[in-house]
Amino acid sequence: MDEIQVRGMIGELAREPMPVGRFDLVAARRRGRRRVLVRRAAGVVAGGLVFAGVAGTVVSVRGNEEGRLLFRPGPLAEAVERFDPLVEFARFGWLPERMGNLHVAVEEQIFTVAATRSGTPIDVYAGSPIEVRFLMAGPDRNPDAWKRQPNAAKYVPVKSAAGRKAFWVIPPRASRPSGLVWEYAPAEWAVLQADVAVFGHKAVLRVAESMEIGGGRRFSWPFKVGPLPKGLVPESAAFELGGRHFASELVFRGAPGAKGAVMVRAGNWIRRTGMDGLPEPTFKLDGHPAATVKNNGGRAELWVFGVQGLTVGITATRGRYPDGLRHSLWKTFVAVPGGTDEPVRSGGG
Amino acid sequence: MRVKRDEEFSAYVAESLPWLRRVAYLMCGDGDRADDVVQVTAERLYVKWGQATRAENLDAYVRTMLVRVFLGEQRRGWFARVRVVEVLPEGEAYQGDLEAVMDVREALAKVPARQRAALVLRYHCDLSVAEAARVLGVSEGTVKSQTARGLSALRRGLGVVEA
Repeated sequence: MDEIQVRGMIGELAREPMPVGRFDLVAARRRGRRRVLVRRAAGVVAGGLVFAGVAGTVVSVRGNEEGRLLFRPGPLAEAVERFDPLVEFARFGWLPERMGNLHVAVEEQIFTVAATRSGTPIDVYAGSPIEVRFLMAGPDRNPDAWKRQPNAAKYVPVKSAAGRKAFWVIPPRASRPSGLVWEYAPAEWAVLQADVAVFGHKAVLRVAESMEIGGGRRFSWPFKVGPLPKGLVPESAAFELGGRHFASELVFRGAPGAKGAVMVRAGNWIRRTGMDGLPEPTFKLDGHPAATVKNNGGRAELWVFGVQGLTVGITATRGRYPDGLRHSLWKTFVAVPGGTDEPVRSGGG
Repeated sequence: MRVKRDEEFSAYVAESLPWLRRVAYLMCGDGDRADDVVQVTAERLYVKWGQATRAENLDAYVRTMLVRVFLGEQRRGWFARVRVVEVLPEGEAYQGDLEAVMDVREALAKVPARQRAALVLRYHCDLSVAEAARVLGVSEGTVKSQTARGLSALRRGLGVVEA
């Protein structure tokens, strides 16, 4: 078989019809933009330290190990039906030295907490050295199903799991684990990814053991909005916290499965002249520099700068929500320097 | 400023999507994984858009990014790549020699990822050894040896007896 034949075969394969793609340009831009914004946030000096207290309470790492240890004998954590974007379902109890930047993302079926090194950009997509994902139960969301996949990883039982189901995960062709999985609630699994070669088995295990899970703790938010239009409910949330920098994001959606979303972001990003990312202010809104952006993805964004040290972004899907919604939500926006666990005022309609 | 960036980025990605997906598909051997690789590549491209547009050859820049995302993905636990979908996507039926295509796809899937990437770059993207070396971030000698090993693995996968 010569090179011409190989070309022919690969060419034949390349002519095979591709399945209908699920590439999402809007999501690529949105996530890309978030990375840009977060990078900006990491590179600037905090403009208003008014919110330093909030930043410390948005998400936190306990320095002690008084949290419930997962691998000690005892009841499993209680399962929840869906992850509530206002509730901190899990938090790190212990982290290796210098892992001070925290990232949290709450989606309906996945709760993610991640940590990267302090002093590096708080960029969750730069590859988090330690990331834990809590998965809702499902037929494809357990090691038994994963083991049946082609190129499945090896699952080696964790010896010190005190009777709990927990496995080191060794990817195909790798000699060291890429992390571990454990049953954090009946039939529900958490996946911890961390470079065992860097941190060592003991530290990785300790991170898992010291996770504090459940308990209904609520996040602390640096703002309050609402009342929201009827039917709009919090759907997902994200936080980035590194040193003096923080960013928070709360996404609302109408009926389950409905298209379009409304998003409120607040953090101590500072707009820097000449940098792309945040738009240049073009007008004043209630005395604050502000800008609006309509992007190709069908979203319209309102940015307001210097709101008691916060940069505020309010985004709504065009067509699905009226243009006036962003401004009317802005009218209800109040910065809460001490933090609040009720970021949404009730009522409305 | 960002509006312009978004427009340029969107136009480029929309135009390049067919070949990006095709190259990713040949490397991954799986449409879903290929889409994941393209998705991550596009996100990274957005972040690096300014730098990318200043590159001498934007397509080459993006292809390098795509290959590195693919190779990087190999290092992640496979569970990170699982995506649950509620509705299976419909696909168009293949009109050619389906059996031959399935044999090649199966054989190619058995070729280790780096060697597979070398084969796709050399024989699908028609890159020279030097260009493939730049994309893969390895020496030209390594590209040659990986291509040779990849060919050998492909032959074995297809049941071709080496002379």
